[in-house]
Amino acid sequence: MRTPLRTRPWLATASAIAGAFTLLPGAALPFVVGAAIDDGIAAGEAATLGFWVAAVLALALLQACAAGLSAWTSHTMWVHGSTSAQHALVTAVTELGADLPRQVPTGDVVAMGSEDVYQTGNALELFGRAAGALVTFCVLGATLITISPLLGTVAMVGVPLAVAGIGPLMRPLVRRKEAQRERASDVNAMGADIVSGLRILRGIGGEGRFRERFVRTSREVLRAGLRVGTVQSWLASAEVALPGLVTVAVTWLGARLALDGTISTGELIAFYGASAFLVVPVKVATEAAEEFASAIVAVRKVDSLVRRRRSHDRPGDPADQLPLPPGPLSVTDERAHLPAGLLSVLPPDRARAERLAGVEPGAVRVGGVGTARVRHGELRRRVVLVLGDDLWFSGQVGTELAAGDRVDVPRAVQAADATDIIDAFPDGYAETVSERGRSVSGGQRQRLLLARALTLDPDVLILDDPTSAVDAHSEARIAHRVARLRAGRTTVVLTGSELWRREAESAPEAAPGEHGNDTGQEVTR
Amino acid sequence: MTPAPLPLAGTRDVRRWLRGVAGSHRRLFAGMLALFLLAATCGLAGPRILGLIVDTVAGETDLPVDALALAFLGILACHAVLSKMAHMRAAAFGEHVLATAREEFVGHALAMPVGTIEAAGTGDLLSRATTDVDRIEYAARYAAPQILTSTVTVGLTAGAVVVTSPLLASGMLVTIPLIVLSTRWYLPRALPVVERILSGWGAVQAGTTESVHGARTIETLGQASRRVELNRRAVGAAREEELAHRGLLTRWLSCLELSYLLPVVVILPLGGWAYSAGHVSLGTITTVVLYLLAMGGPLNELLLWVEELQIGNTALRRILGVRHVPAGHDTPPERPGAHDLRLDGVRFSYLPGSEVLHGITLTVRQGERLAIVGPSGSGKSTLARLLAGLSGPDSGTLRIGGVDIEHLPPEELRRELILLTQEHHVFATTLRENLALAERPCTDAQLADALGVVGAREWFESLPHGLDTRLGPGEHPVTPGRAQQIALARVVLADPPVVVLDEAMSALDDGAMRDLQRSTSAALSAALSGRTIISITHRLDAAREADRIVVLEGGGITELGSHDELIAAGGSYARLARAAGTTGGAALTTTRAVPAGRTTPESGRQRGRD
Repeated sequence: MRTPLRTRPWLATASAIAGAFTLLPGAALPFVVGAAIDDGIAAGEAATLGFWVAAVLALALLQACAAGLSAWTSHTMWVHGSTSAQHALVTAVTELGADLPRQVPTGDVVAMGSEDVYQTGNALELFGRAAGALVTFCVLGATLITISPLLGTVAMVGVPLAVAGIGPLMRPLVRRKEAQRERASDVNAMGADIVSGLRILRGIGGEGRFRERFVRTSREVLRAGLRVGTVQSWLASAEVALPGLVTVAVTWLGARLALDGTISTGELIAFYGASAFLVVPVKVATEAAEEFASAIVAVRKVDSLVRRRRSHDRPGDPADQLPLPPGPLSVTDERAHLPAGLLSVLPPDRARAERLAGVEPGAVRVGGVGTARVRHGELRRRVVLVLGDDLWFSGQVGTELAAGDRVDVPRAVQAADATDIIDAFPDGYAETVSERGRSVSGGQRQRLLLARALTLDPDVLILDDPTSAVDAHSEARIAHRVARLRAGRTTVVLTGSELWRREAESAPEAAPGEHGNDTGQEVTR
Repeated sequence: MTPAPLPLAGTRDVRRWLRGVAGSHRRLFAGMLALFLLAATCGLAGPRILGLIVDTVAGETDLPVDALALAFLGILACHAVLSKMAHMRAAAFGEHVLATAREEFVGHALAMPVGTIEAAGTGDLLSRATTDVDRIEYAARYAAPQILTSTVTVGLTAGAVVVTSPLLASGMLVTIPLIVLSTRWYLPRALPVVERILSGWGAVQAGTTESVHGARTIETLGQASRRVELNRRAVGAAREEELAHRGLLTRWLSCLELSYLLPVVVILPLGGWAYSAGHVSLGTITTVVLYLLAMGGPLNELLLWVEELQIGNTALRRILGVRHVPAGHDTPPERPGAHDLRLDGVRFSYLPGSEVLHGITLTVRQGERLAIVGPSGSGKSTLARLLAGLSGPDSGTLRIGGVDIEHLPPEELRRELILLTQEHHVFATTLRENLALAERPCTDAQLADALGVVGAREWFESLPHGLDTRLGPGEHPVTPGRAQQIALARVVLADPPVVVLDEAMSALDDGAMRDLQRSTSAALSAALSGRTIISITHRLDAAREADRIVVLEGGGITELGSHDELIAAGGSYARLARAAGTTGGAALTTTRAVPAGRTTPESGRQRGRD
C-alpha cells in the first residue's frame, strides 16, 4: 500500500488536489450565495449580483472538473493498489508452492485473494478524498472563525464531535451487529453445501429433511437480521440527530447574533450552509480512517504471506549449495539406488515419491547430491513429480498440456494414450477443460495429467501410481510408450502394476525379501 | 457435453415477485414508505426555519427567534425518531425479501431434475447460491434503504421548492436535461462494462483460487512463472475494463456535479428580479437556495447506488431463474411390480452426429451381479447415466419392472435404483444427517452397522461425538476415501433393489486402500444380498466375481457372459484379463523372458513363458 504512493507520487498528489477542489467549491458556495443575497439581491445591485452569479458558475465548473479528475485519480489508485497486491499474492503463492498448505490454511489464502487485495485498493482510492477533506476542513474552519469566533468554534468543534462521535458511541452496537451478521453467512454456506451435494440428495433422498433444516436456519437468520436492523436503525437515527444538533445550535446562536447586528443575514446563511456542509468532509475523513484501519490489517496479512520463506530452505550461505551434475541423474534413498537414465519401478508409496522428488525432506541424493543441498529452482527444473491428485488447471486443453516445450504436446499425448480424449472433444486441443478436470472422467484426467508432465521432459520424472484409474489395455500401452519416450532419462514409477514392472529396466524392490535387481534385468511373472 | 445454462428470470418476473413479497408483508411495507416520507418531510424544516429567521432579521415578519430554534430542535427529534422507525422497517422488509428468495431458491433447487443440474453444471447453480445471494444481500441491506431515503428526500425537496416558490422552482428545470442526457449516455455504456468488470475479476479470483489449491502442483511441475504470467494477463484484462469504466465514470460524474449547482446560477438572478419586483421575500430565496444545496448530497448518493441496485437486480434474476426450471414429471407414477431391468435398442448421443451408444439390448434379472467393463470412453458411464434417468435415450427403451425409466419421477426411480459415482460430497453437518438420507427412518444402531459394512467402524468409534460429530473442513475433516465410505453407507441404508456403482470404489484405489477395497466389496455384497448390483469398473479383478460380465466397446456390447465363459471364448475380455494378470487358472502371456525363481508379491505364483 505504501509502495503505490511512493512509485507514483504525482498520482497521489493529483488525487489529493482533485479531492480538495471537489469539496472546496461546495464549502465556498454558502459564502458566495450569502454575499449574493446580501450585496446583490437585498441591496438591489444588479452588477454585484451578476458578479456573484458568475462566481457561482465558476465554482460549479471548477467543482465539476475537480470531481472528474478526482474520480479518475481515485479509480486509477484503486486499480493500481488492487492489482499490485494481487500480483504480489499470486507470486508469493507460486513461490511457496508445496510449502503453502503447510504454512497457511488454504482458505485464508483464498480469502486474501478475494477480499484483502481489494481492501488495499479501497484504502488507496480514498486517499485523495481524505486528503482533500482535511484541506477543506481546515480552510473552512479558518474562514468561519475569522468571521465569527464564537459560531466558528461551535461549528468546528461540534461537527467533528457529532460525526466522529457516532463511531465510538455506537461501537457496542456495531459489535453486536457484526456478531449477528456472521450467523447470516452460515445460512449461505448451508445453501452452497446443499447445491454442491444436490446430485446425492436427488439421487438418494433427504431433500425434505435438508429443506426443513435450511428453512429453520434461514428463519433464525431472519430473526437475527431483524435484531441487526434495530441496531442499524439506531445508527441511522444518530446520523440524523447528532449533526442536526450542531446545525440547530449554529442556527440559534446565529439568529441571535444576526438580531444583534453582529453578523449580517448573508453571514447567517453562510454559517448555516457551512455547518451543514462541514458534515461532508468530516464524514469522508471518518470513513477513510475506518477504511485505512481495515486496509492496514489486510496489507499486513498479504505482506506476511509475501515475506514467508520455504521452511526447509537454508538461509544464506550459497557456498553450502551444490549444482547438480549435467546429464542423466541417478536417485538414491535409504532403501534403493535407482540408476541414471533407466526406468525403475518401486512399490506404491506416495510419501516416498514426495521424498524422492525432494518435495518432502528425506535422505535422498539426486546425482549424488543431497536434495536439501541443491538450489531449489534447479531441483524443480530437473526433477518432476506427478501425483494422483495433481491439480488440472482450467483452460484450453492444448495450452494447459504444454507445461514444457521439450516434448511436443501431440507426442506426449500419444505416449499417455490420450489421443482418443482429444479426438472426442468437439474443439480438439482448443476444448476448455474446467478446473480440476471435472468435465472428464477419472481415467481421462489421469492420462491428461501424465501427458502434461511428459512435455517437460525432465532429467528425472517420478510418477506415483500414474495409471490407477485406466483399463489394462491402456495401461499396457502407456507403460510401453512412456518407457520408449523416456529412453535415456531417469524415470521412477511407484506402482503395484505388473504392466509397468514389465517395462522396468530396474526394479530394486520387486518383491518383499527379494534382492535388489539393479540393471538390465526384467521382472515379470 | 455442452452446458445448457439455467434460465434467467425476466425483469417483469422480478417486479411481480417483489410485489408479491411486498403484498405478503403489506403493513410493514406501507409503514416503511409512510415513515420514510414523514422523516424526509421533517428534514425539510431546516431551510424553512432559516428562511423565517432571515425574514425576521430583515424585519419582514416578527417571530420569536428562540421559539423557532426550539421548534427546530423538536422537529429534529421527530426526524431522528422517524428515521429510526423507517430504517427498522426497511431492514425488516429487506430481511423478509432475502429469506423468501433464499428459501425459494433452495426449495426449487432441491426439486430440480438431476439431468438439468448435470447439463448446466453445478458451478452455475453454486455461483447463484453464493455470489448472487451475497449480491442481493448487499443490495437489500445497504443499497435499497439508501436509494429509498435519497429518492424520497430528493422528491420531497423538489416538491418543497415548488411549494415555497413556484416561480423560483422553474429555475430547477435547467438541470433536468443535463442529468437525463448524461445518465442516458452513461448507463447503457456502463452496464456492459460493469458486467465485464465483474466477470474479469471473477476470472482473476478463479485463477488465484486455483493457484492456491494447486500450489503443490505448480511447484512439482515447475510452473511458477507461467502461473504468474497467466495471472498478470487475467489482471490485465480486468484492468482494461476498469480503465474503460474510469473514462465513462469521470465524464458522468462531472456532469452530475455540474447539474446540481447549475440551478443556483439561474435562480439567483431570477430571485434578484423577483425580489425587486416584490414577488418573493429574501427568506423565500434563502429557503429555495438552501433546498437546492441540500439536494446535492442525496442526489449524488442516489445515482451512485443505482449501480449496486442494477447488480442486485441481475443477481435476483439469476436467483429467481431456478423457478423457471420445469420440475419435470407430472404424470401419475406407475409403481414397478418387479425389479428386472430391460434395455431395448438403446441409442444415445450427447452431440448430434456422434452417437455414444449404438443400440444396447440387455436384460438384468433381479438379484444379479453384473459387471460392465471396457476401455475408457466406450460408453460405460453414459449407460449408467441412462439407467439412473439422468438422460433419456435418443431411441429405444429402458424399463424397470416393466415401467419405462423415463416416465418415473426421480422420487419413484430412486426407490428402485441408486447410482453411485466417484464424485462424493460430504455435507457440512453431522454424520447422522450425512447418512440418513433415505425416507425410511433409521435407528442409530442401523447407522453404525452401515458404517461397519463399508469398513468405517473403527473410524466411527474414534469420532469425538459419534453420530453427532460435525463433518467437513473446519469441523472434522474427511479424507476422499472416508467420503467414499460414507457414500457407500448411504446406499446400504437406502437399500434399493438395484444399485449401479460407476467406479464408485476408485478413491479406495490407491496402494494402502486396496485391501480395504477388497474387504469392503465383500461386505457390501453381503449387505446387499438379493439386490441387483451393476458395477462399472476398469479393474478386471473387481469384475471377476460378477455373475455376468458385459464388455462394452465403442458404444456396443461385444461380449456377454461369466468370467470363465469369456476367458474360454478368448475374445477381448480374455485378452484384457491376460494383460492385467487376472485370468485365474489360465496361463499368462508375457513379452519378455523371466528369470527363473522370481515371484510376484500378489500371487506368489511362478510363471513361465507360454
